[in-house]
Amino acid sequence: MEPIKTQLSNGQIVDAYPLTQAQKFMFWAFNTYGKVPATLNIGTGEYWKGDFDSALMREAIEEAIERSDCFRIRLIPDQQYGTLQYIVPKTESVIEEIDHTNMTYDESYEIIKSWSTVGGNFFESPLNTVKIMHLPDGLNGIYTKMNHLTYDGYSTKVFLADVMGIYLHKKCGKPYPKPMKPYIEMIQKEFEYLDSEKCKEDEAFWKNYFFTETEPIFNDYLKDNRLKKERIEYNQPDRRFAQCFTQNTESRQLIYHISEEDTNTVLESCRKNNLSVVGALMFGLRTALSAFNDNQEDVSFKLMLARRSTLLEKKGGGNRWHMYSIRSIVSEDKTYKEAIDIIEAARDMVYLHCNYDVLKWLYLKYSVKNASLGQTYDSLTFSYHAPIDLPYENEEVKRSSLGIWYNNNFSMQNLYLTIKHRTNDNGFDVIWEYKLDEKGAKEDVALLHEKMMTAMLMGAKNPDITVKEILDAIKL
Amino acid sequence: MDKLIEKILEYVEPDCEITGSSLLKTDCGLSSFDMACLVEELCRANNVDMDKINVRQLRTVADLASAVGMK
Repeated sequence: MEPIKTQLSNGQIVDAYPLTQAQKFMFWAFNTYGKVPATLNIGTGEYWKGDFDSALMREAIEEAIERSDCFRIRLIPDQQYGTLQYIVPKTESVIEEIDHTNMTYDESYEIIKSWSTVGGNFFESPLNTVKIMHLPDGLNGIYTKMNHLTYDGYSTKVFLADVMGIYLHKKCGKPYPKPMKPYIEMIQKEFEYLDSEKCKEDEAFWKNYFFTETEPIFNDYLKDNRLKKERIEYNQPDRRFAQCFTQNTESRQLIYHISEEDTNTVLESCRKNNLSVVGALMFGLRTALSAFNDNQEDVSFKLMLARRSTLLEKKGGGNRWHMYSIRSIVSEDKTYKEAIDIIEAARDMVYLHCNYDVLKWLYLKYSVKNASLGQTYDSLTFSYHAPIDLPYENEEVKRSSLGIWYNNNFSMQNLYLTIKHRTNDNGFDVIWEYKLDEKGAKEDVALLHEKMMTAMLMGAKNPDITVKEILDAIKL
Repeated sequence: MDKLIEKILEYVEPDCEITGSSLLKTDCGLSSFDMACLVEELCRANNVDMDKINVRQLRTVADLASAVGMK
């Protein structure tokens, strides 16, 4: 696509581009679910103990920003396209250095978290921030607040790895990190896809899929089951979707740090049985949901996909998240391994057609199923952040490191489960983000988590165990 | 095989040299998603029916070469 010559408010002419489908989806969700600017904040911190050189870190951040086009994205409203994006050659954002060494860790945490709950200007302004941090207990590092229209969890971590790679090169002479990739080239591929044969094939695939699949069914994570209540309320005993729409996006998190030992049990079992980690995690989740819904065999939830396979996609930055339903029908006689095989087949089907526009996908699905916005078959959304190696000076510094995602206190999802790996010991961190206005959500989600972990570990320890045996063990 | 390795290097930056016996996941560092996209791209380029390939059963670069007709 040729750049669109666009005049900024200061009269300067820049090369601008429309938003990608992933960005448009994010914007649509933002506008639909409350328009709270903080919803789009991704606040993260990466801290470690040991010798720290602030001046070198500042140089490393400046270099990393120069290497990452997407850090320098700006937005501008446009009559024809709604919103356009362009890249400024140099960032005008100031890299602040913050000293919290005279506070307790908890006091510092609350202050940093509060930064993530504040939105900023959207148009013709810097969208992303980095701060150098000095925390209590000898921790130093960096805090980043990224705008979700320009970054996602994956690209945030890649940016962080680049900063740390450059810092370690300057500080200890470690090899300079390999180059990042151009953002505009990456989004050009997204635009090319829209006019491609592959896009037409994907559309045909999804249309055919929605017309031929049997109707999915909503599996609630609340014990006070919304589908059961709505079947009575609307006198629709065969109803299979539930109404979950709310414009109140205020949310809180339940965070669980899974031990290194339990994490390794799952990872080792995956290696030994040639199963994917995401497959094992989805097994735990779907089995827990099944237990919450009278051992339902047919379970769907939304799966967030980073969609990064080529190096251009992995190192081009930006926000590439798409989300689709992933549905698995697993009978109780199946073993853990057989169940994961079914889940992986469902996942692979989604993988092959995941560049298709999510908004069109939603429209297609809901028009075929005769449901409307807020009526859903998917009670929750799941995302797995595969580990991205962050470089450290040595093993001791790595073991001392602390990677934190600060909740922005707002969510566009009803329940959003993120599972990621800790940087210091690779253990799972399980983060449940629930809506404050859902009665009983906190307690029910805690129970769902317990059932999910039990199911996953039982399967990992004994891959030939049947789903029925696990369901019996986690019965409510 | 050289062409296939060149293609794999558009997806990953492994620390070690890739050969036919390299394991796609552990040696090359390809994720399940990388594998799905890579196999699809290769099938499309080589006119091979992807439905006939079980991507999850491919272990080595040589397995992949054989599956997509790039021996």
